[in-house]
Amino acid sequence: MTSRKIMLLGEIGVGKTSLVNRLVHGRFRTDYMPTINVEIYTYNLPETNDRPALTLLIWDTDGNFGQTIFSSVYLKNASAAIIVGDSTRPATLKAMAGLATGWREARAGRPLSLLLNKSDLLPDADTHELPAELRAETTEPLFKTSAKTGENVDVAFHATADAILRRGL
Amino acid sequence: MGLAKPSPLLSAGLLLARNGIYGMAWLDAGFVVTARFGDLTASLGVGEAVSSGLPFLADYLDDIQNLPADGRTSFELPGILLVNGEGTDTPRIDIYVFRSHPKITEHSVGEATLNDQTATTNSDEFLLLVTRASGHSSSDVALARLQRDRTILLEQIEQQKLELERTNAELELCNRDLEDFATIISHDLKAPMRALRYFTDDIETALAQARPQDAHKACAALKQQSRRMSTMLSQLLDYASLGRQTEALEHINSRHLIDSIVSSLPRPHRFTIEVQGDWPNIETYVAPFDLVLRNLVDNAIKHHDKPEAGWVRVFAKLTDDHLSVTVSDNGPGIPLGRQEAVFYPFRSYRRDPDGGCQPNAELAHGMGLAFVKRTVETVGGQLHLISNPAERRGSAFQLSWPLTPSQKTTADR
Repeated sequence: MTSRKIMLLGEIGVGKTSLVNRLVHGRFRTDYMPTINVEIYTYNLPETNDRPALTLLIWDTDGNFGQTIFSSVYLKNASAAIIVGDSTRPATLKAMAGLATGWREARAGRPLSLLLNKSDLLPDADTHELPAELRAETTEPLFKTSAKTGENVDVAFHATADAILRRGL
Repeated sequence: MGLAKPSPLLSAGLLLARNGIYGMAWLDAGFVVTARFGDLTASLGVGEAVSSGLPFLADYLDDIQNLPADGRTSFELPGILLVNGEGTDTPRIDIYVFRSHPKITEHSVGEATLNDQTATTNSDEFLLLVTRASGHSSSDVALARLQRDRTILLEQIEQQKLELERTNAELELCNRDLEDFATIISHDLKAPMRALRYFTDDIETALAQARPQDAHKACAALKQQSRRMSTMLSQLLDYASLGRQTEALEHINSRHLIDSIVSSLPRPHRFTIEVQGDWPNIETYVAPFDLVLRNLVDNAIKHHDKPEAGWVRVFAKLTDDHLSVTVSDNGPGIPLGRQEAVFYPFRSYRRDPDGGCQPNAELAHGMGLAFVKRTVETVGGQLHLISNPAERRGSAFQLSWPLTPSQKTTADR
């Protein structure tokens, strides 16, 4: 089965590991286990009418990497990036814009998705104002997700996979 | 003949391999596994591509292919943790690949037989070495948790600092407003109040002297003055409420807006108004934006001393974070000494024959520019006046209207 590499990026504590655990294992852990360096998850997308079967190798990264991830060996041949922010921490949303820029410079032409995680913690998630730096990211798909409830998690990863296939990567 | 006993070094190596401390595999030039041993390479199948057992290595085969054949230079991929299907803990591993590494031949030593090992072949090109990486102990986890908590706390402190600065700025604005109102009440309303008193004195005197016509005139003047005061107080209330109204952001076509403003404003015959520049679709608070543009253009029309040859130009230019609008005219201009006062409430000036400026009683309410300035400040914009009648006629009001304005609200009074 064809496999593609997806980088999961974002500041510490935004919920990257929780998202991929929700996707792959259908579960949510309440105890915080920091990701150290890189953890690789395998997720098999079944064949559909619109898409062939595809294996996603999801590289869950340590939030402490910051911009240095783009010069690391781990980024090589990554087909897409999913950048995650914590909806309740504006600083992490601002950081998303910097990571998006870094991704575009490091892996030009590869798709990028933006996830505003922990939307379950915001009572008015739809009206919550994004920081200016992130509002400028108008061309990238943006998903409001919750690893806790599962909201939009599958949708976001499947959409990223579709984007990879559409671009022939 | 008895079997040869393995050397202590080999036995130790076997023990470590079986306990998952390290594992090795040999790969041919096509990256097919030709031999392997150790628990850490258990996912690799002899005769299968290395990327079948370690799929993530597929992205690095070209780097491995380019390794020099010196036996020392290695490809390294450290600190990888492969999450298995059950999601249980697996060892974190460091991966090294060498080219043309010396081969280990097979030994058969009874119980010390090396399991899952086949003889190496001449096609072996690469040695894959997998070692157990230093895992994260409980203290590592605790440290990482503390680091995250510290990061979050620092973010919250920074956020609260910003809130504090915003609150301080609002308080300063409130204090300035209070000072302004105190000044207005003590100065600008004192004169009309005094006039009321004079008119009532005039009425008393006229009645006492049996001059009913004069009494009627004084009554009429009293009524007009009280109406004027009522209007001033209403305008003061409107001025005070600017910034306390909660508006919603709307998407508008700014060109349509300015065109509708221009078409709605009365103007003298032959007075022209031109709209130029870039007027994009923007997201903004519509009512304040309309108020500002309308008052600036209307102000330029009303204060023109030669309306039969008068013009106003409204020019817009889009920048990264604001819409720059310039409202310029060929009117009398505003002397440098009056340019601050024109933005005060109840100030209105007209040019006098000597080229100076005097209060314009016909436009005595004079709240237009005061509204404009306060509105612009409320949304976080800027307004500058450029005019120097001593050098040339005309004025230009330069407005910077933020594209995503933050509407400040004053504290409830």
